[in-house]
Amino acid sequence: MKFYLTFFYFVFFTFVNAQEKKDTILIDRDIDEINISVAKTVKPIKDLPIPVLIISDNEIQQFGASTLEDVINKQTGIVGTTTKTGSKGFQMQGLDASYTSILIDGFPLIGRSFGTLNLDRISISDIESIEIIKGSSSSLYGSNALAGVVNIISKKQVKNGGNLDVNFKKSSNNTLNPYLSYKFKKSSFQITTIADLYKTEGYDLITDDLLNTVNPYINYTFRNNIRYTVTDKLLIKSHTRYFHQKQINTALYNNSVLQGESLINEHSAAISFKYIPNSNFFQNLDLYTTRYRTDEFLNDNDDILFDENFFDHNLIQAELRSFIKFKGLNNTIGMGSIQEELSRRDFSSNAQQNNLFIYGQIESTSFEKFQIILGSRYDNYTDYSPVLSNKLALGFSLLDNLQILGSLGSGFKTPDFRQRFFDFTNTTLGYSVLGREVAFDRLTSMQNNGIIQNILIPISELESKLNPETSLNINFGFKYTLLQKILFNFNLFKNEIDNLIETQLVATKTNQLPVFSYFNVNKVETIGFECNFSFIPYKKWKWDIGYQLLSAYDSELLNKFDTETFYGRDLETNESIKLSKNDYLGLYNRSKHQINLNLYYDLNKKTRISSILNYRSKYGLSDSNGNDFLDSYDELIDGYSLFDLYLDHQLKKNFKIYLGLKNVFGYTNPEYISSISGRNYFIKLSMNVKHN
Amino acid sequence: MVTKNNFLLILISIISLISCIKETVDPFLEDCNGIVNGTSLLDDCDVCQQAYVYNTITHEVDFINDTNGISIGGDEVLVLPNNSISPYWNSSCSYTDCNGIVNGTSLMDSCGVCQQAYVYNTITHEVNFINDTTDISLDGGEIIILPDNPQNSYWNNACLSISGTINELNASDYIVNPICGTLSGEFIKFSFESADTLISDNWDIAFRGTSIIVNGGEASDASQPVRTGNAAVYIIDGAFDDITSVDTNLLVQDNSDATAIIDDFGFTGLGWCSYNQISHVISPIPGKVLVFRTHDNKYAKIEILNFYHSEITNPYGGYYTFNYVYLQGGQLEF
Repeated sequence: MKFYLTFFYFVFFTFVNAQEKKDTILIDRDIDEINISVAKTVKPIKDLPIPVLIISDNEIQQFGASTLEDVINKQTGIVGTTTKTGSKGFQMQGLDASYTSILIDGFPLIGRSFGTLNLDRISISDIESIEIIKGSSSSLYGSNALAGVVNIISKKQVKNGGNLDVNFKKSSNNTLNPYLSYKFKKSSFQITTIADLYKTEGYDLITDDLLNTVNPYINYTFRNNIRYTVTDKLLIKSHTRYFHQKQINTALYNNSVLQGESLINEHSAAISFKYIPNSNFFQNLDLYTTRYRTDEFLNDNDDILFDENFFDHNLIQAELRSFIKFKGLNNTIGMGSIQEELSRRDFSSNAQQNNLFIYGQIESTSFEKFQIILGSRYDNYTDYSPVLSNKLALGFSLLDNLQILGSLGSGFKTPDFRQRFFDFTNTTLGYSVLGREVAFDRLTSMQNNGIIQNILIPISELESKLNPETSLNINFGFKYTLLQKILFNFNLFKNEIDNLIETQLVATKTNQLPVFSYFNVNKVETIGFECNFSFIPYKKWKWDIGYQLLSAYDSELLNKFDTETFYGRDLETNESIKLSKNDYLGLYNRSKHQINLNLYYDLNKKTRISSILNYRSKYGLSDSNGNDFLDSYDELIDGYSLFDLYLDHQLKKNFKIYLGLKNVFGYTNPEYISSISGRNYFIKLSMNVKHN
Repeated sequence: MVTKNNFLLILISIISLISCIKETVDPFLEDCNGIVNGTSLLDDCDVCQQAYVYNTITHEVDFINDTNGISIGGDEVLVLPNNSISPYWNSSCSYTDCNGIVNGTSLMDSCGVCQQAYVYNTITHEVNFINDTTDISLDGGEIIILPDNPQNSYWNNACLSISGTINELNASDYIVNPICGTLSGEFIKFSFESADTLISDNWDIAFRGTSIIVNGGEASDASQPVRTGNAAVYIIDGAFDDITSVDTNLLVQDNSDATAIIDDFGFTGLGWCSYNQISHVISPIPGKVLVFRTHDNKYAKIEILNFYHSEITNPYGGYYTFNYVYLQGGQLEF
């Protein structure tokens, strides 16, 4: 069984793992250390009737992943995407990366400059496991958890004694990644301290231009976690984190290269108190503050400042959570407050958002074959009408090895600060983008200054505030196991997002250039299914096969095809041609098919070989023929496969070596996919020293 | 003996006389071509038409005087003059013109359009089309213009709709001033008549970067050439071929505040092009047709196909490839 546990670290097997640990989960009062903390529940994952995915440390290490993106992209149903600003995110169930909440140890990461987070900030060496809930989780996590939640669990020491980890990794592009961690536990005291350095020279996919695709950068991460059991009823935990990134910043201007630097500084600190009077009740108080600041500048050839920019986001959060076990029901009640502030270049004033929230979740534990979770959360914002998010999840064990799951949830996302407070006029060309809350005043003053030619909408529309985007998420599927050798799961999903916020033309200026603002306009739908098949054909083999089918589209645009004529451009003649509904290809950056094929083979007890194949079918990154949507005459990015080979070998008891060849086929697409750098190798040495 | 001779003369005379009388009394023996027992017949227009032998294989026609002694081959048919298949019968009776008018004056022009003659009033400039010139009475100042008269502006008019493609017209010389946001660079003037760029004042439209101006109205900027003509423009949605006529009510000229075609670098979506903020590419918006009145009141339509050069990699574009139809005759139908 031990062999079994170390060998099968993949998603479905985590269910099994959880089952093995089941008793300890329920007895251990310190429930948030169990790998289901993301669901704020004490249930073993096996019994959660929602699509949950756990990626273990083992899997992360074995993939030799350099970045969080590397790990998560290997999962079926999650597509790593790169936005127009180069930041990366995860698309889940076909929903945009900005709809996924990313947490470290349950605390939210902030600093979404264009809706997505810079994921380079997360040191991959420091991850114990990653928990992912797919589907709307706003009933627990509020705004931004529309598509799901990714919770990154940091490493910690569970047993008494000390534990020193030293890793050294070298990979292509002169990338070095030393990592040092020391974990220590002595009865009631537990501490984890890590330092991580990640240094890379970047790479250049297009050598005949003046810029690099990715400029050299260096990341430093420090983290310290302390846990102290004051009495057997009171537990105190602290969490501090510092991240710094320094990257060369370049840009092209009039055929000469501007050069500068861009810096990221992130500080986070949290303290938690947990009061556990008895096994049926506990209370947890979290206080959390975090700040994410970027500064960048560019100098011209004479070293004179050409451009500078900054982004400074602060968050303070307090949350009190109580857990009550009562008559076969696990009840969680939480409440709290979040205050956020952002100052940024091109913002009219310091943007703030305050939010009070309360949530509750009930899980039934009294039925053997039924699993029920009912959750609800009420968010009261100073600037919008309150939002109520609900979730109902049901599971039914039809047979011992067949569980049917269904869930229904609503979600929301508040307008981001940019959509509210942006006050931007392009200095070169002179167009303007105005956040909704500044648009009316700014437009009126522009009008008074005589620089507005035409106002194209009733100006009073700008006086009302934006509404949060809202969603409805449905999941329905089953899990099937056979003789612990075959695991199959299937999930049908549908998401509908309403009130999607987009820029729209508001006015034209006398220089004939536009003024844009933000509006709740669109409605998008994603629909599809995901299935995963794990199979152990022989003792030393394991196969994982995953597939996702996805259709994602703007449903309002689709309906307009019935009443309006849309045109595309013939690829041969360039002439305009009428489009039919079938020519509409849906949202950008969505592949219809995604396939993962992972094969693992144990050469011997010390050596394992893994091969991982990811395929995504063709997709369109942006409109190429001027009609502002994706149609069958647009330039599409052909489907591609990434194939990785890994080998890990236990050299000595405390010494392990990892070798990897990533992107064996050497696939690149310099023009459109800047995040894939071609064939890459890595070697990693990992040493572990324990003491008492 | 004299008497005997006289008797002979008289006898001959009588015989001759009888034979003369016989000839006039029995005309059926000789046809209209003077052939005795001939088969030719006079048609309705008094033209004597011969019968003929028609070879259905070689289509050879052999006119014959009569049918006696004619042997008809296997592929041959005998066609009598008044047989309905004979194209000669009554062929000279009347002329039907291209409008179906017998003895009308309309003529087919070289574009395949049937053009009528007309009465033109040189004072009122009124035009009255007529089917034929018989029984036309002209008042003072009126003249008849026959279809192929060089003065007839309708003649060959339809062929004066000229279509073509302009490839990569170079209007790429433009610079955006980052300080004040103004543009500089030369406008490239284009004439539909010459289907080429030109430097004279007889231009219809001019290009600079994404800006398109017309030679009509007023300049809105000192860098624009002076307007010397009556050009105007509007943008309409549709496939190029579906725009079949000019709606003169929609035409707008440039004015001192703004150009008729919005000069927005493709940001607003209200002009001819669209700027993609992700790829930074300017694309002509599909389904947009630009309809122009030229500087000299002719009409044209264009569809811009591309803004970039196929070989020169210039990120700013400015190379126009477009299809055009130019109505040289001043008509409104494409």
